[in-house]
Amino acid sequence: MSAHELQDAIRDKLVVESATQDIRHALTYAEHLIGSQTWQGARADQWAGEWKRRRHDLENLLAETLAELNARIQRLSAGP
Amino acid sequence: MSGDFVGVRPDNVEELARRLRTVLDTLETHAPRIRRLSEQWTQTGLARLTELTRVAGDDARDMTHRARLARDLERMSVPGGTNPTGPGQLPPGWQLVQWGAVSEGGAQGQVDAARLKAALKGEDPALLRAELAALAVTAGLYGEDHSYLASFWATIGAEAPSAVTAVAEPVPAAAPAAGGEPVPALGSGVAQAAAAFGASMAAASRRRLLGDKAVRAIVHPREEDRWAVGMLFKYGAHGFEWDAEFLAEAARSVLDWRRETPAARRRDVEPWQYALRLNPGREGFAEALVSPGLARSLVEYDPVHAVLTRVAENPAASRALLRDRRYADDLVDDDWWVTFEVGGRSRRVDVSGDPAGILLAGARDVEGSEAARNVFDAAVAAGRGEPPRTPQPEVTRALGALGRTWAVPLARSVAGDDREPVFPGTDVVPFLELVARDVAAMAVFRAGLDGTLVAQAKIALTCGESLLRELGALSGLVAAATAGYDGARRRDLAAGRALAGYNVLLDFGPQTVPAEVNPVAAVALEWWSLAGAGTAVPPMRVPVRDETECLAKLDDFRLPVAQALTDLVEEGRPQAVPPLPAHLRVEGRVVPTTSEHWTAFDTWHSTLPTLYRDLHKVPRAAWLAILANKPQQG
Repeated sequence: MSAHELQDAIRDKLVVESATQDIRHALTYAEHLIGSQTWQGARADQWAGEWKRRRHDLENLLAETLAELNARIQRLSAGP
Repeated sequence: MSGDFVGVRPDNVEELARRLRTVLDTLETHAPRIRRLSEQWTQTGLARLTELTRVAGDDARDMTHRARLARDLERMSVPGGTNPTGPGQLPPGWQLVQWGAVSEGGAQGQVDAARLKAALKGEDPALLRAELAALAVTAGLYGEDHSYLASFWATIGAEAPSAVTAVAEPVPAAAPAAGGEPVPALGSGVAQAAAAFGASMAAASRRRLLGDKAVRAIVHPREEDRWAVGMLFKYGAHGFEWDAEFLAEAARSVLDWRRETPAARRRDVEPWQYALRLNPGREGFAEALVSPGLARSLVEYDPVHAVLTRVAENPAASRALLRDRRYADDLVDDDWWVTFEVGGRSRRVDVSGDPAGILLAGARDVEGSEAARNVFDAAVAAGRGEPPRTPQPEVTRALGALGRTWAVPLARSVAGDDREPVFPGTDVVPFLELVARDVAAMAVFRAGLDGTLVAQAKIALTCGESLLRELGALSGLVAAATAGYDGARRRDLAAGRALAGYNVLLDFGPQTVPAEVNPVAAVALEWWSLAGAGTAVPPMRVPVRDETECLAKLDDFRLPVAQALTDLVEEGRPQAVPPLPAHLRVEGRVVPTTSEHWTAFDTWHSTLPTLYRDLHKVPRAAWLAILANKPQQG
């Protein structure tokens, strides 16, 4: 392990964090219009349910990625 | 089936589609980087992220399709109908759409093209613009989708350019742009559509999905569509995104058109003038005449410029174009100007950057040997023409760069080495003479040649086998060509001054204002006679293929050798020579600048063994013998 490696890992984690925030904002912005203010119909409601499940998947995936990056940074900080 | 129908509010579903496209854009921007960093640090592949991005694309495309359906129904004033979720009617302004009738790529491409064709047949420019705007969105969403591209281009066929022609109207603002910015020729909506159209065309060309009709319409457009086709290239994708042969064919077409169509007719391309408000009687005409951005606009919206710019961005297309000598002749010419009659006065703008870019891109590596030979021959022919033609500076500088890239084959040709007969040795002198007509072009060539000389001197010093003699001979020729250039420069200067003076004469009328009365005219006549006499300047006579004589013309061979020697020392391979005074080597380069520096350099050089001073004259066999007996270094 080197100090450089640790710095690189922290920098990359910040990149992922910032990207995750952007994605989250875009999803939230879209979600405001998903519902009865935009449509009335069972097919659309069904699609909304699927969309929200996918959103949930995506958020979990990004959270797991960040958690793994944090774990890696902790291992690097602890040294060999 | 009725369960598939959903009542939607058009405004909201359109806005939702836009937001879903933002989600897609955000994911497409960030997902690749997140995946890469995750794999790098945690060894976890994120295939699921790619899959979710793909589905986000489906969401955005499908919702865009539904929004478009809802808007169509609204435009046709179709009543909303029964509420699918309960009793009664939908609220006012809502529309009933089939939720599942989403956009499979192939079907969507066909629908988009059919709608555009229908709008083209109609008389409603507003509807055509609306269709173009919708197309800009869907074409962008489907991007590289194979089935979309195939069906769209098969359906639109030969009518592709007509859409842009039909809506190429000036932007509403009549005031000229400030600060010398070009006058925008297309309104932002049409420009966006042209960009989407152009990008789709590029992707389809790369996948060979354009189809014969569309290819013919684009590559060999009707006269009235020539400008619009140019705009599809201008606003469309970067040159790398196009199929090289398609681009080359488009370039052949515009070059043929340029060669065969008088400039006066070329500039009559109506939409171009119309767009730039250069037709008397158009709104904004007076402002356009005085617009500081006019000159730039003439170039920006020149259809030839638009196509050639993309070709110059694509080395394979440039090579393909230059494989035909006729087009090399076109590019190495002296008339790369956009000319325009404005208010009875002629204006012209230098556009030689386009041909120069293609020459640079097409002949810059070993794959371009055929192209390089054609360019070389075209340059020689231009110089020998009757009257001789001098390409504009940018083109001449591209020739200088070509000479730099091909210095070694040029040197071999000069030396009569036919193992690599890329260039005819007898034509090297006229080529160099042409390059020498522009100081910067020759500087480009010389700088490259100096670098090659240093590299070959290092090879000579370490291996014995080098092309030092051949390059030395070429360098000697360059010195001679530059000397000849002085004569050419004097002649050009005289001609330029004569021309300037002659214009004055024309303005005043030489008969009415005798030379002895008008001092300017008197000077012009003097220069005019000198320019005429200047044509008698004898051509340079260098006995080509005589290495010894060429080498004798070498003005200074000492610097490349000194550079090579000191480079080798720096690289840890000491040479049996006295050390160069440190102040003569600045940032790794041996650059004596002042007279004191030169004195120091001369002194150092005189202490070198004769062997090093005459490195280029030492027979190879002798060097090999010397190196064989030399103790191994480092």
